Amino acid sequence: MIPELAHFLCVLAFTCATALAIAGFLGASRFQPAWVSAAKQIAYAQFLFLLCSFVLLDISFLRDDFTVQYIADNSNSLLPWYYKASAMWGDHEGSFLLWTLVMAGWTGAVALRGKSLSYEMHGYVLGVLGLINVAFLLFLLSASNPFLRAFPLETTVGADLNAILQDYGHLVHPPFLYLGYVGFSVAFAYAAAALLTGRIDAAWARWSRPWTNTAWALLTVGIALGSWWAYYELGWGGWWFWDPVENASFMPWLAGTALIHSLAVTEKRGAFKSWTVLLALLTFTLCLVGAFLVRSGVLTSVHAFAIDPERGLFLAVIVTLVACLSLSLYAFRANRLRSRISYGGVSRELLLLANNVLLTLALAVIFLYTLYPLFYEWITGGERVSLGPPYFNRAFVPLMTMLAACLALVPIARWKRTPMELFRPSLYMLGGAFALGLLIPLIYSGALHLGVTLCVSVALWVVSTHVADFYRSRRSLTLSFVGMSVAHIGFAVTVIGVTITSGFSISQDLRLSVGDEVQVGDRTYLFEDLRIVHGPNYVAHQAQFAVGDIRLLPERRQYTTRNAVTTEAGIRPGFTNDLLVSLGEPVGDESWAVRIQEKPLIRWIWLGAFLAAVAGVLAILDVRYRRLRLRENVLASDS
Amino acid sequence: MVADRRNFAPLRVALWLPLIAFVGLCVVFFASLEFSPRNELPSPLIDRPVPSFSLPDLHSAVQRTGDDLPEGAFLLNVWATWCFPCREEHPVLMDIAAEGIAVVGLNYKDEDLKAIAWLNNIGDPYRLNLADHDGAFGVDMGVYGVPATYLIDGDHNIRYKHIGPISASQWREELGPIFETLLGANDRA
Repeated sequence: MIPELAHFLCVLAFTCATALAIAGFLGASRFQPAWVSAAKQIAYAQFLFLLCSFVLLDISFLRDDFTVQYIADNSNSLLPWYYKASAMWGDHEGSFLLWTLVMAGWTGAVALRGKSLSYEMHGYVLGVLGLINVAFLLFLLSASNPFLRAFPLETTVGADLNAILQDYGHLVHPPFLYLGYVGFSVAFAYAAAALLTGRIDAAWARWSRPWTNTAWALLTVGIALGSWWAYYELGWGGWWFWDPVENASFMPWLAGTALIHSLAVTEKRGAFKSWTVLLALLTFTLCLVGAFLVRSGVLTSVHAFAIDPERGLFLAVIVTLVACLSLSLYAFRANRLRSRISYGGVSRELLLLANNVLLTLALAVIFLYTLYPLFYEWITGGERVSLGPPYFNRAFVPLMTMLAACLALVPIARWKRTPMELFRPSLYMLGGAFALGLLIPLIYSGALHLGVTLCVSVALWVVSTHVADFYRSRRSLTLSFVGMSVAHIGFAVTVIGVTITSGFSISQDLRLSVGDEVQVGDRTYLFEDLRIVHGPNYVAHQAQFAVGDIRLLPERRQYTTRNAVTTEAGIRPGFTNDLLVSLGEPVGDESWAVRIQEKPLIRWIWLGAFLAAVAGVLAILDVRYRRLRLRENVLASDS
Repeated sequence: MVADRRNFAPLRVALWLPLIAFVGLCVVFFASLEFSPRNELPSPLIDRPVPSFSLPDLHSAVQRTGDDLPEGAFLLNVWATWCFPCREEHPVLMDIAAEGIAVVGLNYKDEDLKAIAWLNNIGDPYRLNLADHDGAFGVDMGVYGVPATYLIDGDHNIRYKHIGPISASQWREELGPIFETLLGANDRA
């Protein structure tokens, strides 16, 4: 009964979404404020229905209701309760339910927070969001329904959750990722509404910015969590693979980063309007393209979902509709936008333009490389290729280094034009950063390494100019300024982490038996013991390695139900260095394949990302947004 | 105003570019769905010869090579005693063997004694059983899940790969007919 109720609530949510789209659009275009108010209530109701539906299905997971096909396929009675609960989004159907729930949540939030908008704008925004909800729910109910019962009853224990997903990372990574992904729908709806009403000005940018920042911060956290999870769960020390699914989340991130910066110019200087709108439309469209690539099975990937051509077709139709409608709107309406400003020499406008150009280039490269196998397959009639990380790195690293170099000048540059003498101190800083950058490879490896020096010194330069500026303006700090500085420093921290980890990691594949001692890097690893441990639904070989006083316990788990093997690395995390031992296959009678690694500064990669995400939230708490909201309230009630 | 419009006329074309680019992209998306993998997994080994090997016979520990494979088309079935679905598949293999079709076993990462005991207990459908203790030949064959079954033609080329246990109906409707064509081709040749 519970799954049927959940199913029914989902259908109710679908009717709400339809009503929301109609009420929003008609209310706005026919000048009916009452309809727009109704649309807000409908948005709340839709969220409530979906939330209940989601909770009810999750209760069925906790109760091991294996008469539901999706639960039978993805859960198991032996799972601990928290993995039962998160098994909900372990496969396509349930994760799409989570996706629609998040979408309804954002829609509800927009309904709640839109008081300062004119009812016309608000109506269009809600109408666009309503349409997106309609598309998602239609897809959920018709092509990926998680509520269906299994007849005849096939199983009494459940097929089990994919072993890799039985992890803390699975509890948090997908929700954050979806919050970010779907959050860009708000920026999309604002942009579409702006094109419909024809009003794109500083106020529009100011409304969009907090939403965009929030979505961006959540997506940043989601991607960082995914990278961290891959690092410790896949067990072999990799933290980024340029896998199509990773790229699917990274492309909207790049577009979103460009959008945040372009919005800043539109708010402060009234420039880049047309470009900002296009970015807002593209960012969300890229999220949908990502969903298509991941869920349709057109690209082979380590974490692709179960494959079903019908789904792929449905998603392709959604992407096509959203892209064609929004970009046609853009083509017809964006020529009304005018940006009248002038700037010369090195100015903030120029730097932000460079930022946008570099980010867009990076986006284009990743987009083409990710889709290259598709084009190739299409042209050759079915042959498959895949492009490895070297392709991506070769294009991406130089672009990011240039981006970092622009970043270093940001605190110094002023709007319109910057007097050249202001740049002089930063040149000294560059000199200092370069000296340090030369030193760092010497410390790590005893040899010069120009690539590392270049990346590290640029990153250090960014940190130094930002810290100096921070110190200079310490008496007049605003939250948005703090946010910007922290985000940029976070970026530099990530760059340093990536550079040092990539440049100076040590990795050795060995064949070891209990009692063996090996020297890797400066440390001696002793294979002390090998034992069998029993988890709730797996049996594992657990090795014990001693490095000084540290004990590392890598495991090789055999999950009983699905007969899947996972490698759990034994990790000693550290701020400056991670030690990592992974246990591979048994070789011969007594020996095991073992990989021992040292990963200097790898934590900095995620630390930087979290700094940037926190900064994104800090910036929107700026008093400026609240003050302006008050003023607009007054204006809105006057008119 | 009129002058303004004329100034912005070239810009309008640019504004259509994103739409045009995306329409092109959508065409590729739809086209790529045609090629998307359905249930059979593409294997780079399809239509290639069986990789060369030298593996001990499960029963006699004599080294076997490609020359010991059966003449004509046969099934190569990857199995292990630790593999639960293999037990489910076993009766189907017995039936296939009873039809007179040659089935070669690849005992994958298993212990010889356990494997022999299993065959003694529930029956031996295999004409030849190779013991791949460390899974090295499995890697050459692209095995990443057990059970897996390969259809191999008379020239010892891999022609089809099936992942997971074969059910009676799958043999009847999918693999059996494909195997028939391999046999037929062999007869003509």
